[in-house]
Amino acid sequence: MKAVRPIPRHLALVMLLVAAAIATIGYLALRRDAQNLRDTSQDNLLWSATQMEVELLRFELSTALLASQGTPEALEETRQRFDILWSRVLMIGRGRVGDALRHYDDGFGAIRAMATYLQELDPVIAKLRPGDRAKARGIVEDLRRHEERLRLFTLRVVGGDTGAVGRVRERIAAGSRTTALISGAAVLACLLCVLMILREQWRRKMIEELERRHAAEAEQANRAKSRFLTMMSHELRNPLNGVLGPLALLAQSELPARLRRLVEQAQQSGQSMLQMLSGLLDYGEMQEGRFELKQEPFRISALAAKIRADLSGPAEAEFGVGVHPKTPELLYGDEERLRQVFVHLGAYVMEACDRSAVRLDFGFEGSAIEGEFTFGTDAAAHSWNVEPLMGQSELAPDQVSTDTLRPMIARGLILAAKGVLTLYADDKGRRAIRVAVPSRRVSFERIRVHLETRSAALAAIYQAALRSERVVFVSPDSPGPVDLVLVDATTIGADTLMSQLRYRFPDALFVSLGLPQSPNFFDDIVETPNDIGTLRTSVLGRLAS
Amino acid sequence: MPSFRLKGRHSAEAALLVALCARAPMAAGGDPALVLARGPVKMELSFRDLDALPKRTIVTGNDFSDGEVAYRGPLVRDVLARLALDRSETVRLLAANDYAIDIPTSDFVTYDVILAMEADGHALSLRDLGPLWLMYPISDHAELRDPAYSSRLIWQVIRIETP
Repeated sequence: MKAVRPIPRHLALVMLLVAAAIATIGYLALRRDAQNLRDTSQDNLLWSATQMEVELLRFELSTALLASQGTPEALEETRQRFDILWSRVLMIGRGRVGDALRHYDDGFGAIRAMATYLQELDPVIAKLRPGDRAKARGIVEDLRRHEERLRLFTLRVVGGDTGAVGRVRERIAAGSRTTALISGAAVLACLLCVLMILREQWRRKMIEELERRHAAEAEQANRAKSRFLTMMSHELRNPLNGVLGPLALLAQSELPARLRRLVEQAQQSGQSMLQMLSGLLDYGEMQEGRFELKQEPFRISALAAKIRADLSGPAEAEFGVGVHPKTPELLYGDEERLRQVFVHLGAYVMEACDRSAVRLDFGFEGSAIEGEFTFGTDAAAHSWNVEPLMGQSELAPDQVSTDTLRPMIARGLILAAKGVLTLYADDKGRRAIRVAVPSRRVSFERIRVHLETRSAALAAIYQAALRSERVVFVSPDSPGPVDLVLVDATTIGADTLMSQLRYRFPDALFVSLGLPQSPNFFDDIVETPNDIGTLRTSVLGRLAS
Repeated sequence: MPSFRLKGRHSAEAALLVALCARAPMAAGGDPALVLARGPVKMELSFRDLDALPKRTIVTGNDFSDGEVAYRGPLVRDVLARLALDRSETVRLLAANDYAIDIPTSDFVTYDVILAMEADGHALSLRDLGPLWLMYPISDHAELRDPAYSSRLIWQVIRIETP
């Protein structure tokens, strides 16, 4: 796809300045046009000038009427017309209109002469009587002398007014041309802006399309990679199980100590590889967005035992894993994924620290399972790279290396379980990693217990000792689920029977009373079955919490 | 009857004219100051009648005076109300010099238009464009600085009627 260059900033700035200049010029032109129109309409002085001439004629007419009739009414009319004519003359020089009229009289003197005459006439009018007809005729004669000059004054005003109107008309025409030019420029600028906007929109659309295509390609490549990873993990697990099975059989046979150690080492490496493959399988599912966690009851002590077995090296270098006494035995969660989290983290930690200095303790705080790794204060522990653990190198996928693989899988699983990983130092200076994953207790309103023993006396003792409001002993034929199966290991231990029991009560907790012949069938072992107190607290207590 | 005098002027020339032309107060005799007419019904108002109405002072400039002048007189809407002329949409005002103009009565509701009887404390005479000069508060409202309103400043008002 052809790359489209974005509109340069300086071009946009120039367009903005041009638009601002056009707007300013347009505003000034409109303002001038408005002023021109105002001047045109306000400069109508002709009316005022002609009115003065009209009032002179009216005064002249009223005076002529007085000369012919000699009545008091005619005299009153004459005086009133005299005052009105005076009011016209007095307007000259007052206000904007008066100033303009005086300007026309400057160098001509018609109004000034009229004012002088009226000033002389004022006392005459005041003393005039109805019978003074001769005086009235004389006034008429005098007024006729002013008529011609006043007419010429009016013509001066007409000429000046016409010229002024012409000038204003020219200004308006010029203003209109300017406005038309500005409008044309504005339209042109708008068209250019529209073209620029359309081009920019088209460019953005192209970029979006390109990005969408790249994203789809990347997503497809990622899915293909994840699918390949999943398939490979799956395919690798099958032959690996084929190796681990014979190794387990080999471990059960009589072997010299040296060979047994080699077999155990091979088993441990195989288990480690199996976990890694499981982790990769989960990671692939997470990448594809189809990863799901189970929420099933599991035993915390069993989880701890499995992690201990996974992380322990040779027999003399057992990894320390503990469960806080107040931790509920049964919890909801995905046991297998939790096991992976702690195994991956533990393995990563032990790459930098002495195995014996590392310890993992489980607890239950609020509504979360907490697993806390504590490890040494030695220099190696402090120089240990925590970035992969905290996900700080996640943004650079090309930097993923073999040593960051385990923390990456662990962090992905913690995130999927909505958990939190915290790195801190305790008050003794020991560094620690705490993982908290939301969970909840498995609570039973009533615990249904099945006791499997051949000894009626022992059965009576246990039933008497453990029976309470929350504990109900049920027979094997009773309907409903069984929560706890107590097996008298001293009389029953045959694998066949245990397999049948396990099959019949798949969800129950199996506790061996005494050391069993096959520990693998049991979830917990009470070594001293006569110690009823221990039995009640360690098994029933956790189960019922 | 109130006495009428020429109001003060600013230019020297005008001052001279005023001084020379000042004369005794206009004798109104029995003539009414203002006639209100609504169809066949007429009402004559004397200066005493107009003087008895509440008065308003507006300080404003116009095209026919220098600077701002304090005009004082009754509100036109109060005068019109004497003969219910304010119910008409338009009234016609006539001047002693036969000038006439029609003005919408809404103007008198929107603005405090007065029939000015005094200017800067002096009664207006016929020579001062009085004794009654319709005055808008032009300086208080920008929209009134328009030729349309300037032409409504009718002076020497003698009659108001329905058109």
